[in-house]
Amino acid sequence: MSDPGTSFDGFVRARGPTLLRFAYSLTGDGGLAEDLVQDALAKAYRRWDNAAAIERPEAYVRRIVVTTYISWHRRRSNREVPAPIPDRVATDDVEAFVQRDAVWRAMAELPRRQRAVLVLRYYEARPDAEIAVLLGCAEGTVRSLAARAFASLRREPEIAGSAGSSAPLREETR
Amino acid sequence: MNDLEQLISDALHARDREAPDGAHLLSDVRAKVAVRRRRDWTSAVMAALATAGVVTAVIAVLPDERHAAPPVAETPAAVEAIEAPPPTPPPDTQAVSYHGVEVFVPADWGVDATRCGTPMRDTVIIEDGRGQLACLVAEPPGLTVVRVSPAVDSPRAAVATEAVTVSGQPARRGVGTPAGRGERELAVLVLPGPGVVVSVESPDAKLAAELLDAVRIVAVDSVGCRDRYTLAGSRLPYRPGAAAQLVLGEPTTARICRYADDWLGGSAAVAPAEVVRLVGILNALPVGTSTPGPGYFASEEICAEDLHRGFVIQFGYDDAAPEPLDVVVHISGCDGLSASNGMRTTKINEPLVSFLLTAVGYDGHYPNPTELR
Repeated sequence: MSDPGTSFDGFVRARGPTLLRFAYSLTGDGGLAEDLVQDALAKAYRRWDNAAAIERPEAYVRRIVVTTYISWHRRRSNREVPAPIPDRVATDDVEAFVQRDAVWRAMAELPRRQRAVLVLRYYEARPDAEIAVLLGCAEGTVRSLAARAFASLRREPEIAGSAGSSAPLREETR
Repeated sequence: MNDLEQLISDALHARDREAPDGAHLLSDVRAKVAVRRRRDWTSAVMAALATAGVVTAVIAVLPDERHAAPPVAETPAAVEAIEAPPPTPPPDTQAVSYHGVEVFVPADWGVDATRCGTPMRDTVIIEDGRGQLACLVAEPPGLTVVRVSPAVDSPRAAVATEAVTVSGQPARRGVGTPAGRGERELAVLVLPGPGVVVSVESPDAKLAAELLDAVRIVAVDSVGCRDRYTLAGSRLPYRPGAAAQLVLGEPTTARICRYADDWLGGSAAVAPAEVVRLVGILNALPVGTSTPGPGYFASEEICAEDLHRGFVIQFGYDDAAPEPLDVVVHISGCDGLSASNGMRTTKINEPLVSFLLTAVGYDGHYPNPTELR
């Protein structure tokens, strides 16, 4: 495999940062994100000949990231610690920042599959059908997980006060 | 997108600049791969030695970590996926396939004919990391045992020092004496391409040599199964109408290929009379996926591995448009216990599971098929 686009090394160099950002959104912790991506790539490495042969190796690795992340559910305690408030709060809109921070912290408390659905929907902008494939579940299950996640987020006062009573949510209208 | 959805999107994107930059990602992954390989290899060796009752010898035969090859060098090179016609097995033999390596042993031998991991008659044993209880069963004398192992750095590989060629690929071969079994010869063939070691312990040196002579590397085994198959994520061959029925028309042939870690672990041709029965079982399955009964538990990690473990049933047709039809069956895992032709996914049931297990066995823990829901 001499093509850097399909070689394992080339893939890690090219897509590693993107995968890490994705993993960071899932885990909420830099160390865990590195651990997660390393675990997923180590698994993919063993099957790379096949991964490279399929049309989109990144989709293959991304699925391993998601399944590995969900598999941590029983093996690891929820060790995520919300990251400290960054310095840029001084120049940011304070109210918006507080809301975003509240969402970030509330998402850290969500069950992993619910959080994965939110990340795949609103960070990766993936349709529910694709999320269902990644999670290995039915599309209806994706909507159900999203609905439960929204219900949990709405219970947070800082979120409910601003966004919780707005227009009907996407999954409730489908 | 409503306010809350927008807020979630903003919250996630606002944080992504805090994600690690991945400066050392590649080297970290390589280190993790090396540790994983070492751990897997050690587990397999421990299991094999424990079943032979020689646990105390483990320390002596473990490879020196300081001299371990770098992880990339340990990677089994891909066997070229050339779709060759299935080779014809030598007469009066049975073929055993593993990781693209085909071993031929006499037709009356056992396959994995062991008790608590101890051979009970002449047999070929696939050492694929399955755990075995050690219950110190005495091995009958005079047996010939062929072992096929996935680890190129198996302790037995050390005796293979002579460079040879197998199926056009470089290999190493040699003979020695099994530890504590001076009455037998140990003949070993190391195949770095597919990453497989074939070893023969036998009181008959000539037989041991002949068994190794017959080993070959194949992209398609004599049953017709490919050495590798991506069970998760690959597109199945399309046949019009497959969304309406799992098996279309009247296939005349069927073969069952069992894969673990996407590598071929076992294969069998279905007898012509049984093809009809198998089609009947498959086409009676209801749409959906099955759920294990309450007595089944598998860790999430095992379930992730099970995405790459399963059966591929390949049907052949005599009609004018012989598009192949593959049905992928998963009988273990956290979810997705199903049979699928790529367009239609159905539940599985006890008759199907029994059919598959009888044909090619299984190398993992699976839920009780009578309790599937």
